[in-house]
Amino acid sequence: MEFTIRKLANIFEFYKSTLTITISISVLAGVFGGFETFKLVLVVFGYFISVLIKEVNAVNEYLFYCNNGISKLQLIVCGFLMNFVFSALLILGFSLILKNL
Amino acid sequence: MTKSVLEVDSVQKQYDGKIILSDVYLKCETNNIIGVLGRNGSGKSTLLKIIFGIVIADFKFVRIDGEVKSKTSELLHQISYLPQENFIPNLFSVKKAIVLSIPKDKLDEFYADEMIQSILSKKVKHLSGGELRYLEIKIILNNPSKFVLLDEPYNGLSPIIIEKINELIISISKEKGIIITDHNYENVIKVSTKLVLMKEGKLHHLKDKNELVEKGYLKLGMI
Repeated sequence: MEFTIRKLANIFEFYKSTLTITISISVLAGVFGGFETFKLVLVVFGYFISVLIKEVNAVNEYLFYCNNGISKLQLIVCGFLMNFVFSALLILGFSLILKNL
Repeated sequence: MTKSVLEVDSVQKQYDGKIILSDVYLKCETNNIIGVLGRNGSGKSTLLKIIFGIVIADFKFVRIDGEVKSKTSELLHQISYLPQENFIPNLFSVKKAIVLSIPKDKLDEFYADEMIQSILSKKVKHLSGGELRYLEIKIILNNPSKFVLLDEPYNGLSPIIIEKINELIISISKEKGIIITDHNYENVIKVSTKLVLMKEGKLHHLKDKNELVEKGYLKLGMI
C-alpha cells in the first residue's frame, strides 16, 4: 500500500513538472486561436510538447522515477491521463464561468 | 534473512558491427559486492544499463531468484541503478527527493546522517557536486530494491566522502547485492568481495586482484 502511494506521488510530481510548459503553450495558443484551440492544446498537445522538451533537456530525470519502480512509458501514459482529467475539470470550470457571465 | 540471486546470462551487444559484449555471464547474490573493472569503452556501463533494462541488448537473460525477467517494468522493482550523470530532478527539494524514494520506516535512519542533515532544507539545484552525488548514492542504496548497480560512484568526490560511501556500500551489502564499476580501482578493490574484468567484450572472473596485472589492466606495482 505504501509503495503504491509513493508511486502515485512520483507520477504526480512528474505531471507537475510538465505543467509550466503545458499551461504556457496552451495560453499562448488560446491568445491566438481562441478558447477551442486553448482546450485542444491543454488536453493533448501541450503535454506532449512538454514531454518532448524534457526528452531533450532532462532525459536523465526519468532514471529518478525508474529507480522508484516506474518505467518511462508508464510515467508518460499516467501523466497524460492525469493531464486529461485535470484539463477536463479546468475546462469544465472555465465553461461554467463563461456561461454565467 | 533470505538471500536473493541476480543472474545475467548470454548478454550480447553490438554497436555498428563492433562487438561490445559477447556472451557475458554475471551472478550477484545478497551480501556480494561485485567490482567490475575495465578500460574506457570496454562495455562496463553498457552492461549495467542492459541489466537495468534501459539499453536493449541483442540477446540477454536476466533472472532474479531463478525467475526470468523479460520486461523492464519487472526489473525496476528489484534493481536500482546509479548512472554516471546526476538524475534527481533539479527543481526538487532534498526532502522531496528522499520522501519520494525511501520507505517511511527507513526515513529516521536515513535522516540520522550529518551530511544529509546539513542539506535537508536545500533545493537539489543548490547542492555542490559532492553533496548531490552523496545524496544520490544514499538514496539508491536505501530504496527498497534487492540489487544495486553503481556506475562510477566515486567520480569527482573527495577522499572523505569516498570513505563515507565505502562504509555505506559495505553496510548495505548485508541486505542487498551490489555491482560497482569505477576507474578508481583502488576503492573498487577495497570494497568488493569479487572482482571481474571486462576485456574485449568478455567478462573475466578473477580469483585474485593480481590477475588485473596478468590480464594487462594494471601495471606491476599499481596494486
